[in-house]
Amino acid sequence: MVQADARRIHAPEAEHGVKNPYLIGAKVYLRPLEPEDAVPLSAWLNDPAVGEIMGIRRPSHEESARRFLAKSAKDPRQVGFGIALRRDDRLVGTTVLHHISHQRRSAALGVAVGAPAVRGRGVGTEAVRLLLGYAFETLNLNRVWLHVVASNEAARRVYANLGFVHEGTLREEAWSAGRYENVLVMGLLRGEWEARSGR
Amino acid sequence: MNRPFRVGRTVYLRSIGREDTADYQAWMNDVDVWRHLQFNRPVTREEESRFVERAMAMDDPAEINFAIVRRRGDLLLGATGLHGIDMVRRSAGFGIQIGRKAEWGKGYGTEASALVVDYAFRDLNLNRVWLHVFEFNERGIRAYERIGFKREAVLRQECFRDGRYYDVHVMGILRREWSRRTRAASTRRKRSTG
Repeated sequence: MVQADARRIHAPEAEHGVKNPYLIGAKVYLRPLEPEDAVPLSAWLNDPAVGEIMGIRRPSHEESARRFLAKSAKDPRQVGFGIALRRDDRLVGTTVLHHISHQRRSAALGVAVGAPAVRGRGVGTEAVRLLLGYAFETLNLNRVWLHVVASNEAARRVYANLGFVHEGTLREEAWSAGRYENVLVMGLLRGEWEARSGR
Repeated sequence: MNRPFRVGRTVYLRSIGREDTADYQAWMNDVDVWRHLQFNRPVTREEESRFVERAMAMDDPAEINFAIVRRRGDLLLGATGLHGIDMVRRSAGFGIQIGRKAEWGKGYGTEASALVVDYAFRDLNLNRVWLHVFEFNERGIRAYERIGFKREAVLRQECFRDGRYYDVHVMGILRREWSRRTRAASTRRKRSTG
């Protein structure tokens, strides 16, 4: 289901042009993150809704975002992508596999759709589906897991629809908007992914 | 006792020192010890020294390590500590290894764990302490339950040992649960002395 055909999204009229599509879906594609992406990334990190997901509670500057990107790119335990719209090549978010362990073939998944205008339109769902295909089919992982705060019902629905199983609840593990919140652990095993994608 | 920091009935916690390096290295290469930890590679003297130097420097605010020492004979038993300390969420991960196998099954690990949890709530003002334990570590799970940890999640197939996958259990204890236990314990003590 993961295709890497750059011609399919070639759009000469787009303002920024095609930017190294790596994993291509129907509405979005995932591409490498570049230093200049620090500008939009920094703006998203200053939005409490995004900063909280990423565990960042300090004001962000382009410079700190640039360093964050450079550090992440060098870390062998993570692979991060920008989420871009095929329609206009606009970067609208990021998604990442982190805590990658090749010994237990496991990784954690994170996604943040930063551009408010495109939230709730299936952009994150499609990006996660592309990243799961990469995790299981390219990296040969056995397990992908994630943390989500209990009150984020929209995200929980998205993950459940993708096949993630609720594995347990970490009591009061998050501090969000002035109070403690439970955090759900959700996991997806290779066999479950294959059954759903009809392999 | 040498550099005692928190003292229990039979064991005490102290800062880790260079004199501990050789024992720690030997234990981290003992399969009976490392099969219960997320370690999969041989540990060289240099790597173990790096851990000891880091522990001695105490300059990582997210991590605190202790040596566990038996009071009788001042005998080094293992190491324990908190990692991933987050002072906004007031949460930390807990870890322990008793490397001296001759001293297994005597309750030293349980007592050392209780000392660390007590330190986390009383001194660091944390709200939550959590840990990961492999499903086949039944002695560990029993000890953590005795201290008051509750099972919160089962991470399916998050551990690979002896050619197959195992589940990892997440256990957690909250501050209010700990206070209730210590209150109950001090009431018991008062009754038995009165």
